[in-house]
Amino acid sequence: MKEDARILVVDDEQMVCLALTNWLEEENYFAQAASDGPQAIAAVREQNWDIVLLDLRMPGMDGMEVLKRVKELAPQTVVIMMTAYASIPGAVQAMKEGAYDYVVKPLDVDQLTLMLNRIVEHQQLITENILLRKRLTEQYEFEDIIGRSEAMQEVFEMIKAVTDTNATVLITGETGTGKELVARAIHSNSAQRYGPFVATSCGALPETLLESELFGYEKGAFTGADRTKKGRFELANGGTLFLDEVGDISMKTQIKLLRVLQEKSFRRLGGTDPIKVDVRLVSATNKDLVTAIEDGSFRSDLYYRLNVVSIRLPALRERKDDIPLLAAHFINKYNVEFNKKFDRVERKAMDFMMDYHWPGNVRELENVIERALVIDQGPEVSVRHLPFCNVELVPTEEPRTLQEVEMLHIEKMLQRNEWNIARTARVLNIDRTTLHKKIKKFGLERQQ
Amino acid sequence: MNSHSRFIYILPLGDVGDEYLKNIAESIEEQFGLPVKITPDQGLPVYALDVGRQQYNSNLILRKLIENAEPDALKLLGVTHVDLFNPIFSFVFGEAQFKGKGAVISSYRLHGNPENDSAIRCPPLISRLEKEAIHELGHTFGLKHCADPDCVMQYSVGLECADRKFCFFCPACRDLMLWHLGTDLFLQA
Repeated sequence: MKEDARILVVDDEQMVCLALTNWLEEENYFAQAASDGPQAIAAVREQNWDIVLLDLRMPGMDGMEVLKRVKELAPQTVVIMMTAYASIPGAVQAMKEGAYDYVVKPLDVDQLTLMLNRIVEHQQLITENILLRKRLTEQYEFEDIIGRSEAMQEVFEMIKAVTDTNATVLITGETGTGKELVARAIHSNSAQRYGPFVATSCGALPETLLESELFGYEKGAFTGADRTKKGRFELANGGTLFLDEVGDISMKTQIKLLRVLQEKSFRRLGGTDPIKVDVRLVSATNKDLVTAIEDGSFRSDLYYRLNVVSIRLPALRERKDDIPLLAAHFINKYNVEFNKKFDRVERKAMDFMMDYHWPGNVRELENVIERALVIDQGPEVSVRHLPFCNVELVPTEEPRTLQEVEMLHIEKMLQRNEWNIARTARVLNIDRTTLHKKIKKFGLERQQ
Repeated sequence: MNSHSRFIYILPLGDVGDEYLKNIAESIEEQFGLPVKITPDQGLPVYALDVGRQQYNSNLILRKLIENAEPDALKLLGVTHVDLFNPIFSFVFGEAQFKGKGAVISSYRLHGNPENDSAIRCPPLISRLEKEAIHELGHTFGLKHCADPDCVMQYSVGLECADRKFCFFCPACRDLMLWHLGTDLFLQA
């Protein structure tokens, strides 16, 4: 299990980094070094670390600042401060800020060994505990994905099945069904879980920008390329690359993507050297790619590469049984975030929620609950918290356009005058021909 | 195979004691199956003395050993009685170049602390020195620390732990060591 523990050494002295990472590797840990604060923060942002050995005193961004950023980005990562005797008060202060412990330089090898062993054992216990708890709830929950419906149980089974493989996965589903959550669940349960998870929305970027985003560029590759930049493929090396809205990418980028999948290497824009990468690709789309292939906007060979395993996420209206469970989950989530005490959904509101067609799917449901908890104190989510009720009820009670007002008013006057055209025309102060034209235009008919 | 590069050299650094050196040599021959040469005393490694710490820098000793290696030396083991440190640790029992040529060990800390260490009454110093020698040379053959508490490659916290382990490799480490040894000899050929 020790090989699984990943340790980041942060020290401005190269010798310390080198000696410590060598020693940690001999100790069977996976170790990497960062020589300053920004490098350390980038490493924490890109990858998961179990332990960070952090020098307290560094030029530029000091250890305290790095500690705060690490705790923000990865609260579960254990940080051990390294300090000289003179800085022990600083190390104690660091412990108040969330550091696990401190070690004094030069390090006592036995003390450090025991400390690391203790942390690894403790983390293993936490992981086991989480796994046990998960086992209890996994029937209805997988990572952050909630659902007891049969459709979602099938999704959970598919996720579990693909985590043991390195196969590319295509996730399909309407917007808001949780495609990125599924991608993250696949990543965090797969062999690549200690590598980075890099997400890119292909639909959000124009073609040229998407290419430089995916493959990076060399300095001088185009106007404005004043430095070499790594692309998402490089950043995701050893981990998972999630391409959202993959159905939106251009034919040109499709060819490049296909080449990366075939050759497992690519060139940066303006670059000549091939760069090898080991990346698990998970992509998602809300488009029907089979239709896109038929109309020639998506390459079939790329489709088959991306779609080795496909996971279809059901729309929320296809799994309405999950709405109460999801609502409870989001109420709990935002109670904690906003420090509120909501504990139920009003029966009538739940009826509306069950009848509604949820075009924005789970994301829309989450937004509805979040909004309710933001604007009110609770303890009940009621009909007035449901924006779609207002939107749908308004047209029947209160017309919004002049034309609607006109139509409703003519209809009302006709009913009041029992569809007597001459009398109604007089009331409306228009001639009968005009009234006939309006009745025809609005398609009004006498109700028997 | 090149017969000029298959010896393990033991280099005494200061007055270590012939009996200790002889025992270490026998143990190495037994564990690695390679012939051992013991050089004359190389003298105290004064070049590695850190005056402030009153300890000797094991990195500098290793560097010097490797610079002056004999052409027929496959591996080098410096043995000294002075207190060793490396720049990150307060002290070390020994140090080795991982998958490299050299290692150095010291008897200084292997005596134990007469005031509070019960381990001092346990096995004789020579047994600890032999284990430390095999352990550090194991690193030069690419072996990492082993989880088997009996294996000589296990990292021991404190002398009592060190006394509990054996002076030989567990089957897994032995196989790995032989594989690395074969690779090293092949590369020398």
